[in-house]
Amino acid sequence: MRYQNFLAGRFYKSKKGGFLSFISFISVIGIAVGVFSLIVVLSVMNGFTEDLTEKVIGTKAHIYISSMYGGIKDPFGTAERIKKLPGILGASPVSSSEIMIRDGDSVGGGILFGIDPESIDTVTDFGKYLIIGEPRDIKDGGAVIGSELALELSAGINDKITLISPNVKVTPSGAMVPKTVELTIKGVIKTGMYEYDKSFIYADLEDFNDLFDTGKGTATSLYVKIKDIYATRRYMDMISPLLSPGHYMRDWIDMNHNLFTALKTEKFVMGLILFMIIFVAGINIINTIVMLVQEKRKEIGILRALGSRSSGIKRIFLLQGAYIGAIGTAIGAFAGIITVVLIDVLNIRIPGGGVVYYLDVLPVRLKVLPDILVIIAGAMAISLVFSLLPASWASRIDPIKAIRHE
Amino acid sequence: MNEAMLALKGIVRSFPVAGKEELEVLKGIDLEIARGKFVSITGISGSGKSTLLHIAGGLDSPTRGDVSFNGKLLRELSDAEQSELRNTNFGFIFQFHYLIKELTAFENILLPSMIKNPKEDRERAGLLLEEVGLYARKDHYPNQLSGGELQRVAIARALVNSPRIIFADEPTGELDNENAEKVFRMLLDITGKYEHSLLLVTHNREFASEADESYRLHFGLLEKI
Ligand SMILES: Nc1ncnc2c1ncn2[C@@H]1O[C@H](COP(=O)(O)OP(=O)(O)OP(=O)(O)O)[C@@H](O)[C@H]1O
Ligand SMILES: [Mg+2]
Repeated sequence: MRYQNFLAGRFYKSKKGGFLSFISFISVIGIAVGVFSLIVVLSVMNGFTEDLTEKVIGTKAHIYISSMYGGIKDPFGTAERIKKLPGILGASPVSSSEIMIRDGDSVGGGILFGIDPESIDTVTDFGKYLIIGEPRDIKDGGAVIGSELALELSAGINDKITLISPNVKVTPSGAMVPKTVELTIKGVIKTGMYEYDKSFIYADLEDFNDLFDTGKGTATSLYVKIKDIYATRRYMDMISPLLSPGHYMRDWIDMNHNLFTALKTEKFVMGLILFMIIFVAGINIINTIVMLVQEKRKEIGILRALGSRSSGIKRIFLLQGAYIGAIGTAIGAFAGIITVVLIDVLNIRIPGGGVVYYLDVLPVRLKVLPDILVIIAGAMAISLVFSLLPASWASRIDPIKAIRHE
Repeated sequence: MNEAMLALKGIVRSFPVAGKEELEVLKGIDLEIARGKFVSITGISGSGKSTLLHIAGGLDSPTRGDVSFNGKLLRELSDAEQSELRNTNFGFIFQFHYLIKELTAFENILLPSMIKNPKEDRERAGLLLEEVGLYARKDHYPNQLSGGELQRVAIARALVNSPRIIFADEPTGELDNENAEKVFRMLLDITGKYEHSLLLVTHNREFASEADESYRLHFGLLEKI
């Protein structure tokens, strides 16, 4: 065995100055706590991001096609043509606009989606999120409303709901009144996104067209679902020739750009802050090794006399840092991964979840690449870099000074 | 055979003393040690014996003068080359044993061999342990051994790489008469048997007188006795 590794191991196991000393224990714990919190916090953030992504693209489209001149004139025909392309999972016309909801004497805001009940599930998870009713129930003046909205309106199945359009109509007497439509609640949807469940209303595309005077058989947009959600560009290039001039496309990433950028930034900043814990632990490592070097001055002197090079001495003490780093990282990673798995299987409820926050259980997602790998490599690198200082100090100790004076 | 293996020429060593001029401990030492020879140095405390031994063994550098081993100047060697020289050609024994307390007697003896080559010579370490009469204590740690035993382990450690020359700085200084005698005899027997040269610093006149050449360090210079 290489003597440096051999001695480093023995020094590490020694009671004084070595692993079993209090200060070394603190260094190991420091690294472990840092690695643990990084793994848990970043996994939760991944979980949030993924959950959010899933809900965002589950209720909306992968690719949106809209027209610069009002609506799409032949949405069904266009959808049929797009569906024939490879890798397209579905295309469905969807109209959406903000509307007002009358609730007794007061009015509230909402977003009305006019959908085609036959094809909506080929592009979104609408059916999956329905907790009462079926997509086809919205035919003939039916509506599906968000669960939070239903609570707020104290509305139940078969209750009426009155929607007020921003458009106005002129009555025979010449007065201008807003257009309204009365629908019957036939279903309730719950996505788990508070914001969505609080404001979304789904109705038949024709009821939408009626309310907004957009013309029979038209839609404000076409939703397209694709196979590989991260390759939207490629699909958009394929779809483009099928569209007449004046149509344009956006993908889900573009539509939710701010949200995803914010999430990314947040994860980066959080990671940086938590890495500070490891940084502080690194300073503990310096301490630990300085103490060990003090303790081993005589041994360093004798090792030099026995023929170790100064680089050999350096390696012995560098390895101390490596051990502390490796053990701390291993403990932290193990505890972190176990915790993440437990959070996942135990479905831990968020206090106030669903009302205060958009989710009711804590979502987690362990990412080995790059998260865990970066955390482990980072912790090890910090441990080694911080050991370098005291290790090179040890390697420069004058053997004579170390040996002289008992 | 008679040519000097280790040669010191005009060695001067001075130490800076705070506020005052330099303290010149060695004032121009010439010394040659031939293969297999036993050279002893005596002198009062503080006369510079240890300083001389450290310079001869390449652990310290002289202020002026040259140390050469087999014709090569030590000061012209790199750290790696000097380390290798100490590892394979020099053996050190000090007044205090300086064994590594985390290693057993056997492992301590093996250490220079591991430094030389990761495939350490366990056989030779075992043989030497036997030679110093401590084979039964093979797996004992330094804190389980007596002063004399520790020094015997230190002797075996100095010999494991079959060095050309052994530097011993009062190896029996800490021991009682009986143990000192035993350790000294052992050192003499083994170095004689393997034709190692021996540079011994000692306070013991009797031991010193058994050397091929005996010197006294006095006012920074060597006097032959
Ligand atoms: N690094 C140093 N700085 C200043 N003075 C030193 C240093 N090293 C040694 N000396 C001085 O040099 C002198 C010789 O020291 P050295 O240890 O060589 O003596 P010695 O003959 O071995 O003594 P002893 O028999 O007590 O071991 C002493 O006066 C000592 O104080
Ligand atoms: Mg001395």
